Amino acid sequence: MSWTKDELMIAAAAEVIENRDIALVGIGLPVMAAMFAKHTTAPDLKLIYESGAIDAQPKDLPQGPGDFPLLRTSTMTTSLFDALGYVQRGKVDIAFLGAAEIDQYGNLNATVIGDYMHPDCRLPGSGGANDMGSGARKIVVISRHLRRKFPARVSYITTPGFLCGPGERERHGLGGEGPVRVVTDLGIFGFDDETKRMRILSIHPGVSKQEIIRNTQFEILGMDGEIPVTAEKSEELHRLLQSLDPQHIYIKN
Amino acid sequence: MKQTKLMTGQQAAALISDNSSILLFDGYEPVSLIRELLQQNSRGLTLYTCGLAFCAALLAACGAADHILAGCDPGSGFIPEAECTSGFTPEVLCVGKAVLKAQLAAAVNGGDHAAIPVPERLLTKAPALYREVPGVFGAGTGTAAAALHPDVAILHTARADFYGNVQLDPSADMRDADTLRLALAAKTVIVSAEQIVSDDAIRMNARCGLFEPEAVACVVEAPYGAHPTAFATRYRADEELLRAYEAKEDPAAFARQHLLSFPDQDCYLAGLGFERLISLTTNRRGEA
Amino acid sequence: MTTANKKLISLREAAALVPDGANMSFSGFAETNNPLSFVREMIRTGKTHLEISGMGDAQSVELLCGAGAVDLVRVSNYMAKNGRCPNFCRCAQQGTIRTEDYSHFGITNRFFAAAMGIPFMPVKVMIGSDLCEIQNFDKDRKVMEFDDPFSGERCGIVPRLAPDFAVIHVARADAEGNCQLYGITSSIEIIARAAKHVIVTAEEIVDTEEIRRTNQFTILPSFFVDYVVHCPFGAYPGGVFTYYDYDLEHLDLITRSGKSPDTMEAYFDEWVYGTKDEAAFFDKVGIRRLMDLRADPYSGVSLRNRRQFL
Repeated sequence: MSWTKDELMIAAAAEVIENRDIALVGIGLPVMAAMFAKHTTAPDLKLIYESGAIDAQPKDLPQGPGDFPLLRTSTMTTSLFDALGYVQRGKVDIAFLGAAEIDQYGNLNATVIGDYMHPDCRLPGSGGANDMGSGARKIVVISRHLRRKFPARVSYITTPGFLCGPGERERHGLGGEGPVRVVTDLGIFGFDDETKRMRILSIHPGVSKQEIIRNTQFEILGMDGEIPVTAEKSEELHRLLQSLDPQHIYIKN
Repeated sequence: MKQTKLMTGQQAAALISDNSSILLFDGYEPVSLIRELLQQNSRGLTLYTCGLAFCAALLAACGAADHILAGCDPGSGFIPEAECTSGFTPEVLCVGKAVLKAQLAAAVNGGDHAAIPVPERLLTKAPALYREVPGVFGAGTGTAAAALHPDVAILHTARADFYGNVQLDPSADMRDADTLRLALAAKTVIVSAEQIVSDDAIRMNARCGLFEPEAVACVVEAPYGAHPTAFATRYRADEELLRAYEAKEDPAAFARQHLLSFPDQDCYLAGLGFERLISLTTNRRGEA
Repeated sequence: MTTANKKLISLREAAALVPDGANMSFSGFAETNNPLSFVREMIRTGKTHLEISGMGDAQSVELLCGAGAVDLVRVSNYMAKNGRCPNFCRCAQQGTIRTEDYSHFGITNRFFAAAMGIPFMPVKVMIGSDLCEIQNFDKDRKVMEFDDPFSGERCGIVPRLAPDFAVIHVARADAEGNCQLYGITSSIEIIARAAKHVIVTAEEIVDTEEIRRTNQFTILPSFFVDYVVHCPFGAYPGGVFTYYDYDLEHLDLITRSGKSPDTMEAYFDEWVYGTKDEAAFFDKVGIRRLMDLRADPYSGVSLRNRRQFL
């Protein structure tokens, strides 16, 4: 049985996790990515939640970062101030983010579409996203690949990627390496070392280059020439992943 | 998948036939289940009450009980050792808590009697249960109280899971557990619980357990299920209602109006209302 | 600071303390520990022109925006259980509220500075992004880039923020205002320590002896607290860890009602203006429903609502 789009994204996100990482997860597919990694390549992965739940091992899938099943099995339950303080201190190796808009430098928008003072569309806001983007060592962005979500420049920089180019993060005093992956339902993308612009790393099975180009408002580097196809993992791992979300709380597609 | 023992109050009451003998415990009164018994018009019941029992008074007043063996002293509690005024006259015998407990313990231990001193008057009033017997290890005589095997024990507890694991609250005085385990003298144990909890929760508080789950026939979720009596770890007695009941000329009529005119526990609680229930509540979770 | 025997007041009295136009902060994180009984009482009594600064206060802000009670919001993140908060978004898009965006850690540091009695806190968040570049009603009092005078390291600084009122919902409190909470604490004690006046709503009022016996759960000492209100189910339809789970159906009802001002008004007519006080509100919600929401002692969730109830 072939992997669904959601499943490919989860596996791709999980690949970025190294064993013994401290990961900050929120809700949605990143929760599955972390669980999948924990069951496969990163058994020593520790999860923290911005809510203050530290190293939880819940029986039930949590329905939010402060959800009650997380609290009983955490090694510690503390404040948000402490949890995000750990991020600022540099203790978090990897954080997963989604966004309404992602631009070619990996900047993320979760605040407004249009002008801030008179927005066309008001979005939920940063929450801990800016905090994570400013301090976690690696950022992995997970998103559907739709044209409106990939403008050349975001309407509003909620979370800093590489801002407007190389050296900018450092100039503003930000910690962490910034975004290392953008995982979508069309492909997996990284960022060019020199220019800090988005570059394709692999294209998912059955997806055409045209589809990616059509759904992106800027030029992604590396689209000319041979692009590796995202490798599907073994059937055994596929079954393992499916067993982690039997009620399809997170894996819907 | 393990079989669940969860039932509604109505289903649990339907397990109890007319003319059954029922064991009840003071302080753990399953008033919500007794209301179901009265709704289904049970008749001819024999009650054994470990201590005072408002439920016994209620069943007597409504004509459901023919005999009551009360584990309390004469003159204490809701039922005097005399006639009731409902038109029916259950036979009431007050034997004292120690004697009743000994009779139940004898049943649990598989004996046919308890060798315990009983007051003179019981030997005359109930020779079927209480006799003078020759001394066994010494000269002279002693008394024997017959082992009691109620058809069903009904008690209200704090927590239970779907499979019949039953617990008191962590804040409870576990000394009550020894008395409550006398429920095993009965052929069947029916339990109502303030809250149905997960097996993880049961495991977390294993020391609060009462019985092996095999002993429990069914479990009914009944928050405030002992109202208007107290449930020590969670809420006070509704003194206002109990005093009004005691003061009434016609307790059966009072019961029908205030306690029995609700189709089920949910409606009963809705009738009491949020403010009243909260005002009686001393501990929301039963935690220590 | 009021004396102990004057601190324990009714919800009605507590809500009456808040003047129109007050700068308020509400406790919470997602669907937990939001003082929604207090918020409903504020709406019943027609509060207006509020300035709200918070962290995790989505549920409270969403209701107050729906009631047209809000002028200014310092917002970090507002999400309903299943999507955006429609009242808040509509008010922001129509310009009936003015917003100032922060990150969770950014605004918490503003409160923290006030809590610690210092004029500002250095941070390494918000700078470089539009949270710093775009400043609205907090212009020049929001965040600025700053070079550490000792090392020259670039960082940001945020000024203290002391709300007029912090309203926090906790698990247990005594009559003096010692507060206890189980599980995560969000920014609850920080906003209380920052605020000029603190109103505590508590699931249960207990003796001080009980607080002493279980003092590992105490998150705020009494001398920060002005008033204490016994408010059982006071976070409903949100939840409180170990007491009750959130009511997803009612949360969704609020979100659906928020789709238009008319449906929101209908919700308020039925549930808030139509119930004379919180006791009436909870009688309408139904005792059965409240009992079903009670937390499993282990996981904290409602078994009926979250697992297959056999």
